[in-house]
Amino acid sequence: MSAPLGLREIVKEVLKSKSGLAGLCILLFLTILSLLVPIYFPKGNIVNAWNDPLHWVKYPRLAAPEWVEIFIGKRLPRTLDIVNSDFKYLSIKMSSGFKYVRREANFYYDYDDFPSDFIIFLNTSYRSSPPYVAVTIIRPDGLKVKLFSGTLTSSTQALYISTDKDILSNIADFVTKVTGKPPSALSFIYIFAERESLPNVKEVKVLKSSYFKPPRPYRIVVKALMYSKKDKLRIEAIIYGKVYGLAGTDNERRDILLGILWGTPISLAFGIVGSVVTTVIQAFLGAVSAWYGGKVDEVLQRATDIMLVIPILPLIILIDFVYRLTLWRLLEVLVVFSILGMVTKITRSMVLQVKSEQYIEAAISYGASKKRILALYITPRITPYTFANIVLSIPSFVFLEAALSILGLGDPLLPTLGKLLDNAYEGGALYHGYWWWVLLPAGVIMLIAIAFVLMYYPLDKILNPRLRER
Amino acid sequence: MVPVKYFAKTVAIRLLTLIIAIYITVVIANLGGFIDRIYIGQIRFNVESEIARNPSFANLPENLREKYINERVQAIIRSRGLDKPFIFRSFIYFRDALTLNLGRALILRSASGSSLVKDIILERLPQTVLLFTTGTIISALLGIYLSLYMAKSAGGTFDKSVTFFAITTSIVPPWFFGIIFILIFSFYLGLFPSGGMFSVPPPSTLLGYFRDILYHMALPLLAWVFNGLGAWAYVSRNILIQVSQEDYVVVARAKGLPERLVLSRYVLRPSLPPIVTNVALAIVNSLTGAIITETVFDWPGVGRLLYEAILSLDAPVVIGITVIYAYLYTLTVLALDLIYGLLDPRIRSSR
Repeated sequence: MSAPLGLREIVKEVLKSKSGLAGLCILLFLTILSLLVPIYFPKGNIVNAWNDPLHWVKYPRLAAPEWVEIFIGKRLPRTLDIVNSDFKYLSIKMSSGFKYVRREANFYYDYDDFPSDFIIFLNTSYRSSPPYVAVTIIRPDGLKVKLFSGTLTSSTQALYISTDKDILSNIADFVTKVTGKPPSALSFIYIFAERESLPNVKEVKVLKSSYFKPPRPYRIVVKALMYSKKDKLRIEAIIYGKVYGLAGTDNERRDILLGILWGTPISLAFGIVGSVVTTVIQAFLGAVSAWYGGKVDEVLQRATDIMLVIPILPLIILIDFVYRLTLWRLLEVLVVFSILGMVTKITRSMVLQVKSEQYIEAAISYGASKKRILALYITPRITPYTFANIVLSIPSFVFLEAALSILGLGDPLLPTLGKLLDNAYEGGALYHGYWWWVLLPAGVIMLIAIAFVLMYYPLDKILNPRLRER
Repeated sequence: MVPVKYFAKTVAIRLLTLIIAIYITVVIANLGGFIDRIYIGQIRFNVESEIARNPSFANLPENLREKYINERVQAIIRSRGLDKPFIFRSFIYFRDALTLNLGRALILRSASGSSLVKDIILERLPQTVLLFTTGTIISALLGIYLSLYMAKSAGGTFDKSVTFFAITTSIVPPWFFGIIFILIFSFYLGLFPSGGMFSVPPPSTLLGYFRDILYHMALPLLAWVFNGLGAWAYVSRNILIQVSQEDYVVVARAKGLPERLVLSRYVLRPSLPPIVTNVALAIVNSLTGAIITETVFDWPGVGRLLYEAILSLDAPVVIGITVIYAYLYTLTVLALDLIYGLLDPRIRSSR
């Protein structure tokens, strides 16, 4: 048997070993990252923002992390947000109650790939009827692409350049006019394509501002005819990129890094609380069972056998499915189902061995109470095992949360690591190759698992001293 | 001499455990009667929509129609025994479960259209055995083989690195590997399909058919073995090292017996019982498949069936699968208890 070790000695032992230290460093790293959330995302309630589609309108959809450029060797487009104040007034004409406005914004486009999407938001306030608007893009090579002209139909209208049929056919007309041939397929990327590379959508090359000396911008020209002097038009154009931030975005344009930063501590807390509570209860009942013996032992052991026969996972899934548990309610259910288990059996057999040792006999003979012996003389002997088991089963709880999320039974609101993985799975990331969406949350889960295995590794040697090198 | 008293006690305790476990499972799988209430609600909904669709009831006054609906619903409830309190019904379900009279599914049907729970489960069992039992046996054999080398050079670099690998991979569940394997081997390398069991349409020749199944099996099998292999190696290594430090092994070596003989006769033989126990229980476990791995790989096995049964709140199917598992588990443990009790007198006395 190993010499009795207190919690402090065990922690010291873990820290003394290289692997234990490495594991702790990983955990510290993850914790510090999570603490940085308020700096990364200073505004308000993260959970609400996460679940609110409006919050993510200005983010690109399914963008890869920015650092992929290092591997691809290309400069991939960032998202360009051209706000209302960027649209300079070129002319304002008033005549007999009409207001005619011409506005223009410039942007330089120097990326090696086309944008992923292009939306122009037009917000108007008008008195009698909505304005008539025409939007044209003048490219660096001087060619004009007419995108839209017509009367706005609502006070907040968005021109979805990449999907709107009329706009796409306007762009196709532009290609036909320039090349004399119709384009091979409808697409908005012709706006950004070199003239010589038209009209096949598979062969087009990006027309960069820097091809000209000095560089020439793209110009978005908006003409509006308004029917009252006080009518207003606010314009915002967003040219969505193909990369975003450190972790990219998902199919709802959400910043995956925020999900990871917010989800990591939740998953960790779930794992730690679940593991500590269930292991301590099971170990305690195992010790009680062996120490008191007799009827108590018989009842606890039979109950443990029963729990080991019942397949718990399907029943938990059933309960979670019917009652739609939140994460913390799920944790409570898990604890109830794991009051007795393998740890009870193992601690029982350990205490049975300790029970026959002489120092226990000595304690009995000087009249220590049963409770006192259990608390002061027996508990320390099972502490190393209990601690090691806690460390090793934390990842299991993290994975369990992820597993239930993959089945679609995760917490309805909280972005946990498992939930991120489930979103990716449901969003078809595996079948379309959105690798960042899968691998980054999965990587953090793996990192958590590896951290705890590294911390468990030195404990394994304490627990099984006979298994050390001969 | 056969220790009859020990055997009788072991059998009695195990069976009692099984019986109580089955009752608890029946109660939980019905959520303490909650499933029946959902079911009664469904009956009512079905009757109401049936009558709403039927034009001959259109002219009936509201109160008469309401009365007719109530009568119909009550009749169906009575015919299914749902009018009795749950505590009473739970014992009927319990009796049926105990006698393996699994009855009819509420919603699920087998591919051949049968609603018998037995048929539905038996239809899925071969697929699960094919994938998970095969996988379990492969990873057990490979792992135990690996453990021999680890135990031989215990504490060495090989042992240390495999131990670390083993602890890590045994913690990471197979479905997690599955997701990553699908991304790498299916999407990027295009080597294997991402899920399912057959191509559509399935190949016509018998040989092609088997090859097609193997092709679809490869990734889930790899994920399953990847998860199991390490655990087998690590656990068996610990058992082997423990045994090889026994005094009689030291004596055998001191006597100058050749290392091969020491290993096979003095180390391997006494290590076998715990390893065999692990293998037997793992094979029983593999029969219920794996809910999440089967879901991720869209594999039509028992685990997937269990999940479908949960999603449609089909309590008889959930109970059927869990009860069969409980039976198999208990019988296996019992058989092992008895065999070891017969072979090893020390076990008998420690009870």
